[in-house]
Amino acid sequence: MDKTPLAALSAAYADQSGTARRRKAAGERLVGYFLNSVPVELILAAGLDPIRLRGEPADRPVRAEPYMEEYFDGEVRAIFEALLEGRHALLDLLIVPRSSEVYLQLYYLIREIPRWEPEAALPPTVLFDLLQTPSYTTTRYDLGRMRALAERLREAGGEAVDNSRLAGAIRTANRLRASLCAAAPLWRGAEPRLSGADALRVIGAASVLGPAQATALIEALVAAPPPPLAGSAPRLLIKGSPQHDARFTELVESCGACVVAHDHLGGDRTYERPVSEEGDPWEALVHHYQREIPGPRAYPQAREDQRFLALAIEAAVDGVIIIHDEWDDTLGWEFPDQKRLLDERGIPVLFLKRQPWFDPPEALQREAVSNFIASIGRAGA
Amino acid sequence: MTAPQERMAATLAAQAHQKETQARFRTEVIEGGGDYVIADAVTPHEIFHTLDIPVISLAWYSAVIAAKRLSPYYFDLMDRLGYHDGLPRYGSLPFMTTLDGDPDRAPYGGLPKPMLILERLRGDVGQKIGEQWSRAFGGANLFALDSSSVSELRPDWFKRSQHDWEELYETPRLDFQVEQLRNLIAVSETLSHRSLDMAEFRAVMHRVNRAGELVDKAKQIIARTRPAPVSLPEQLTNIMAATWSRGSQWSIDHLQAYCDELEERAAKGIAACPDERLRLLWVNNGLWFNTGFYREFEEKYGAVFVWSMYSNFFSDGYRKYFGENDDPLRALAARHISMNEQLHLPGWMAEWIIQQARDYQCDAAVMLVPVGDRMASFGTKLCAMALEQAGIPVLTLTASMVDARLWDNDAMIAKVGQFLEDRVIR
Repeated sequence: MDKTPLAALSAAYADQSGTARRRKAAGERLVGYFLNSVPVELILAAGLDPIRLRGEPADRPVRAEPYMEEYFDGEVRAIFEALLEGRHALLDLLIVPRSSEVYLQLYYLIREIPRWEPEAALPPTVLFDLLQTPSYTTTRYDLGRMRALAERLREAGGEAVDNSRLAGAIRTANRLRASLCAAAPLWRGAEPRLSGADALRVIGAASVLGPAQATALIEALVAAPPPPLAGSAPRLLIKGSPQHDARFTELVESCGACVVAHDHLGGDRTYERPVSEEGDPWEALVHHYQREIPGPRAYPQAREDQRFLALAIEAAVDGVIIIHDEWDDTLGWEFPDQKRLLDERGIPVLFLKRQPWFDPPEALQREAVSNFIASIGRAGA
Repeated sequence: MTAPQERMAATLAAQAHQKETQARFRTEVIEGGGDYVIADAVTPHEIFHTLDIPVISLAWYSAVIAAKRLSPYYFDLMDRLGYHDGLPRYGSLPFMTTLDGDPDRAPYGGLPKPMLILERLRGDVGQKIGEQWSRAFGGANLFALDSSSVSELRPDWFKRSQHDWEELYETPRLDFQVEQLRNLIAVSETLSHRSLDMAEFRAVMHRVNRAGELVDKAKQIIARTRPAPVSLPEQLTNIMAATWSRGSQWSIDHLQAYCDELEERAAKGIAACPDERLRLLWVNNGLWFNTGFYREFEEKYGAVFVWSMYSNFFSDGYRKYFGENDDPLRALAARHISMNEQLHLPGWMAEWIIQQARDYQCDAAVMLVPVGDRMASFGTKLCAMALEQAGIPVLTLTASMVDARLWDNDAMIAKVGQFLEDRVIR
């Protein structure tokens, strides 16, 4: 019996390495990347096959430990471990975006490793120096970086990217974004049919699979959705450090909540805005990645906070949980303002600061989340 | 046996200059309401020096707050305001003085609303602090210099960065940085109603290069002279005073006097530690709230810290030579475009420090791994490995650069002492 669309998406999400191997075996020329800030449109326009990579909690830093400081985000440490283990050697190219300082540092560590481990099976790696200062000067720089990346993709075996190919790739990527927008009511709607953990899997699978397959599966999921979830649990939004894996969402939901939205780099705001299909496709692409995507370097903060609030209001949340990585040095600057905004709207917030990514304190997290959910219930009674 | 060291005349002059600068700041800015700029340390202060607009460096003001042992108060305030205790400490202290709003507590009466806040977005934090600080001042102007990243760490940066900087730092990045600097000049001219004089700017740039040459001369004297003629805290006082006043004639005159005095002391055998037996590197950021720590190991072990990255980064990192027909703005762009990267990225950091260890005849290194400022901790593991591979034993101390609450002085002294006994003393 064929898998349901949700099962197929969940399986692709759960086994990203297996999915990559299968795609490679099928003849795809894989270009791996991190986060939401690498223009998949360029990869597609070059005739290559994008796959977004995330860290796996099982990849504890053993080989990575001598080189990488413990102060990196846990997920980045896991990614580095997987790289040193040769897990991503099948990639034709790996693109590291500059949209987060820890990933920039990861890039330099990757480049340094051959000096210490000449035998390490690392993929060819390139930095995509995307800057996000909202200025014309930066736009011009990003345009140059975008064209340089297209040239690097050609050197990796891709086709030269012209306006026509790029416009076509933008339409392809937008269709995938649109499919996710169409699916979002399945977890954000008045009667959720997918758990928050399943939502994360669907969003994640969309960039582990090729766009054609992912779009088809998501459209099939929308066409034949699962039945509504039972019960009337408090509706929560999870915000903060990237939650590419579903562990924390599952923990929250096991405490009796329904996670209806995610605002982080693996969440709902990563697909909400299409790239413009009007005008010069290069400029449209630069505008999108420079100014429209969420990320730790994106600003002004007030605009980012308004988009977060819009998501919370649209999802009709009863509360927000903000969770930060153990060594976060960035997102914490936003918290006092975000709490004030939520307080003004009567939306309760639970702040879990400095949470280890490896071996998170589940009992403490469960206690804090359960108490938070109970407090929401009392307030609503 | 030489006589114990007395404080250098140059050190006293540097301190007096700092006081004069502070007095000018108080008179012109705090009392007179004049323009001034709050700027990240790694930003083009040269533009404001040319415009004759005072600059308060974030790193300098943080260090002053730490040296006055006020950091615990401001970190407690940070906690009370909801900024979690893992956030960067070094750059946040000056911001906290504004949120506190108590001029009697803040050094030099606190910072009034500036003409401009200048941030360089090297990490992910600058724009967040900058926006909130601007708001705390009631809407101060914020200029964010974005920070492009070099695609390849070409070897021997410290040999190439003075003349061969176009290839080293990559042309698209320099083009972008020049455009940003032009924007900054336009904004600064508009806000201050002043004009940047091209001839004076060119002269400022030449004077920075000349000052860098003198810092290199000081390095050569200290590196070859055993026992070292100056303590590390005095080195820092003299070099940092010149760094913050770079481009001025005072910086050149001061460094010349500093070099002359070093030569004289070397000739007379005047030493920081007459019984010098071991020479140490202090690797990574300075321990600003406790510079006396550097000298704790002289009496018992004859172990002298002779180098930190502030000793001669001015000579190796700041100097950018340019021809008479070249645009000095491009040289200024080259100065800051990879400054932190040279000090903190694994390959570039290690190769420079190994060279300094050899030049200064060092026996071992003590490396600060900062907590609460993870940016400054990145690259330390690979740097330590590279130093060890080069035959230089390394001790890492994990501590805050500025938060005295997290420093156990006795334990740290014991740790360094044990390291010297176990791995360095032969």
